[in-house]
Amino acid sequence: MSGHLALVEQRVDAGFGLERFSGVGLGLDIERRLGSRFTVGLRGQGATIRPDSSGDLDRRIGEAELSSVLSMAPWWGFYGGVTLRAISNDAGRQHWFLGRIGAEVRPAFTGDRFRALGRLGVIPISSVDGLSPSSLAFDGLVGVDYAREGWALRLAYGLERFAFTSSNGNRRDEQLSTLTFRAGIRLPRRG
Amino acid sequence: MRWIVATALVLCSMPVSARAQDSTAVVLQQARDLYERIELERSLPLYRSVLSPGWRFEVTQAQRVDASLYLGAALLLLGERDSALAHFRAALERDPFADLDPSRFTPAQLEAFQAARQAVFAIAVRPILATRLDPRAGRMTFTIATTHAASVRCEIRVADQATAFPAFVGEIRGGLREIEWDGVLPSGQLAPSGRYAFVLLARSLVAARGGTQVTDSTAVYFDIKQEYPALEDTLADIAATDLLPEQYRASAATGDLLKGLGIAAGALLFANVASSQDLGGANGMAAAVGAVGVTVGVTSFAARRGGDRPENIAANERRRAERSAANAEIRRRNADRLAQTVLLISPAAGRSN
Repeated sequence: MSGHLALVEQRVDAGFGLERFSGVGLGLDIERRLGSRFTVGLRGQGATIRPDSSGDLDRRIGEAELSSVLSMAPWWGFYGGVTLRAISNDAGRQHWFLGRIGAEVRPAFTGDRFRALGRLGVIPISSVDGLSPSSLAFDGLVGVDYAREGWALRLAYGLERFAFTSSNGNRRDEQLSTLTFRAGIRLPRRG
Repeated sequence: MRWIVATALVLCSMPVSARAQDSTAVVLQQARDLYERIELERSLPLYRSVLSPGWRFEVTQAQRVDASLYLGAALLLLGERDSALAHFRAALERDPFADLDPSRFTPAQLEAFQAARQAVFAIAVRPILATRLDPRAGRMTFTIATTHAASVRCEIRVADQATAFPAFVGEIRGGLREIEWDGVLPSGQLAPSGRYAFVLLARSLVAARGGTQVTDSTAVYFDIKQEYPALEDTLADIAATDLLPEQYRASAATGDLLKGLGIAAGALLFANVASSQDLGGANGMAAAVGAVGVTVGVTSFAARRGGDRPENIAANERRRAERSAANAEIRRRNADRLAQTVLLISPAAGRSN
């Protein structure tokens, strides 16, 4: 179980030039191993991001994600998950539903306390209010894990990129970047 | 007619030796009865017939010695002292343990027998009986006999080695003598399993006074087997492959450096290549993660390169110490078991004179 602090940056180009929002978010993660190879997780996060330009409204991002990891070896595996995301401002709200799948590597540094972390995957399911499915959608993450008996830390940089076509036919590029610092504890397994 | 012959052959082939011994025993018993009834003249032919080379039946050593003793005793009572002495000597030569019971024979017979003892020099060791010897509490006994006073040396020899040590050295007056042994070698070590010989070397003191030295030797063989509870094997040495590596491999340090650089490269790749060219990348975030990755990689490279692995060294030391402690405990238990060793002694084939 862990909590995280994230720097969130959203960049959007809906055909009217670059809009950039950034802010800080907080979240909670719960993961549980099932057997020796399978891990499921539940993540929730909320963030408030402010526009770089003074003309835009602040945005609030709330999301919940159910994820899973299948380890093929101690150093690599596959991941997948579904994400419900809501982006709102004082004028309205937009709902996102994403389904993602990809591969991850976790090679350990000598001593097994540090691990490099890398993910790259696609988002084949991307359903966003008012937008057609994204023609290009992928995500990736790179970072470092540090674990001791009973607790763990993570610093990771994540990227999601989408290319939608809006209802009026305009291209809409969206990109969400996060720098996440996560700290967690490991609870002993019962039984 | 044929079946009569066959029946006769079968009857003739019945255990001959048993009947022969029975015949000798019967004749000796008849002779003994006559002797006891003082019908000496009638007993003499029976004894002589048994000792005769022409006696048709088997005669054991004990029966021959018994016949010689009673023949000598009877002849002495009949006044034939020289013949009596000759038969007493024959009995002693066959069995130096032979003796007359003072309650059954006259003083004259006993005196003559003693005279015969002085005239012949013979020695013997009584056959060893199977026994179980606890060296902490018991002793085994060798019984030796000389017909008269002698200087003797009793040795115990390990049969297949040159090891020998004296069990008794001294002079004895003649007759029986018991020599005890506790099953321990002169080194203090318990006699190991194997074959041993008890050797008796003797020199007649009577004959020496007469100017000639008469010596004799004999030996009996016996086996010793140590008996103790089964011992435990100590734990085998820990193989090098079972121990954790105590130093980092050079490639491990290089690998750590490459992983750190890989994190930085991945972060830069996401920020500059995977990100939209139009939207731009989050270079600050990528730089932060890349810097941490490089720091971890470089630090690990510097720390691990050719360095010791204290946690593995400690773990290996712990395993070695556990093994040593376990072996010490096994050795202590084995020592306790060996301290309970008893010797199983059994007669072995072989006898020399």
